[in-house]
Amino acid sequence: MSLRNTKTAFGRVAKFFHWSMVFGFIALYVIGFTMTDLPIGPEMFERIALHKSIGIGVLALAVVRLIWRFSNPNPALPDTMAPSERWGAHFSHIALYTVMMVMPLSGWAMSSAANYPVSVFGWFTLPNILAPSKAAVDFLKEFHGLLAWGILGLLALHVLAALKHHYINKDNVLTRMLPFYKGN
Amino acid sequence: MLRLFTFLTTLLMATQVMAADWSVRKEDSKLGFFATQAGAEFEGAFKTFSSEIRFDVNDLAGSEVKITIDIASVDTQSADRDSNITTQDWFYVSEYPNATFQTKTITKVGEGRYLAIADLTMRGVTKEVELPFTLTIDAGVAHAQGEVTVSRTAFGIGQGQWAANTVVGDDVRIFFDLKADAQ
Ligand code: HEM
Ligand code: HEM
Repeated sequence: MSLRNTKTAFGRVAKFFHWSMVFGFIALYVIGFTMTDLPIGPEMFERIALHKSIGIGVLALAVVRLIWRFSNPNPALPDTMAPSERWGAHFSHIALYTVMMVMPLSGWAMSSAANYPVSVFGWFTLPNILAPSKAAVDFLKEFHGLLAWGILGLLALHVLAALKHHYINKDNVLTRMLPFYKGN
Repeated sequence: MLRLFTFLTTLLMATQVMAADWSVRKEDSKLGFFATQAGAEFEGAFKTFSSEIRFDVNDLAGSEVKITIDIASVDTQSADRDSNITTQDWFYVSEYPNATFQTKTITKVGEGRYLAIADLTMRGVTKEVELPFTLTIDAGVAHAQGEVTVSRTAFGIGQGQWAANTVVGDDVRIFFDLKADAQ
């Protein structure tokens, strides 16, 4: 398996990006849904800070991942797929790339509007991208919370589609994205 | 008669120079702080404070500054945080509504640069602080700027679970940027 993609297979780098993103999202959801239930205290702030740091990590990864995506060939989808399925796959991937950036940006904007500047793992602090505003915080909180559910729906489709390829179509679409799979 | 008049005006002017009281221009002045939360620095300000300033560059021994800060007027651009700051764990505003800053000595350290030794009282605890500041006086308007770093826990600001510096840093930079008119 090479670092770069080929016309038929994902390379190591694309797989690394895909699966680190998966872990990033799992962590963000687990922390995101539990942190705000904690009583106000240092532990709550630590969790929120961790959520923000990982979220900004996802944003950075998404940018690098997209650059990599466009400087590499992308493995072709199987010929057996109908045009509507191809479009479905294509649009859902565009949607996933979009939310990988919109979701962290909405969090960053929310923190900025609340004048809680974001420190990334304590390494450096991001500038605020919005002026402090209560109305903006309320809106972005709602947006971030609703989009979180929207993304869950999108991911459910994504994972179900991958499983359908594997178990129903019996093609290599799932296995070619698996990190240590040697069978293709 | 003319002599008496000259004498009186001279006396009047002399007392004016000696008294040198200043009144702060609220709209052009700022008294605030930088604190850190989860590793990131944020800015806050106290909207309401009063001052008694007697300052004369030629009479530093007779100069004195007293500032009284209304803690409840804190504004960190986050209503949640502002209301938290006033609770018992932090500034305990119901018990200690004000912080005060009272100079003991002011010395000149350079051209337009001074050092104040002062008592800072917050949450009922008084500590001596050394505050360097710059001052320019132009056409009867004084412009003073300074900053001092204090340990919030030394004043008991952040009790119990907040005493550890893991989430809220211990160092707080208090700054001011004041414009004042000669009285
Ligand atoms: C892809 C990235 C991200 C995902 C998937 C994500 C997901 C979530 C989820 C699921 C919640 C809980 C929502 C709820 O309880 O209704 C949440 C809350 C939150 N997120 Fe994110 N997040 C991401 C990025 C960020 C970033 C980058 C920041 C800030 C820099 C951030 C700041 C917050 C904040 C402050 C909350 C709490 C909002 C509240 O008080 O209800 N998030 N996030
Ligand atoms: C366990 C969960 C997941 C599985 C099983 C899975 C599976 C797959 C598979 C098999 C592909 C390859 C599609 C092809 O061959 O063209 C793929 C592509 C992709 N996945 Fe996932 N995925 C999962 C989670 C995620 C998550 C959480 C994200 C992002 C938030 C994501 C974003 C993407 C994107 C953007 C692509 C398109 C890659 C490209 O062609 O540029 N996936 N996924």
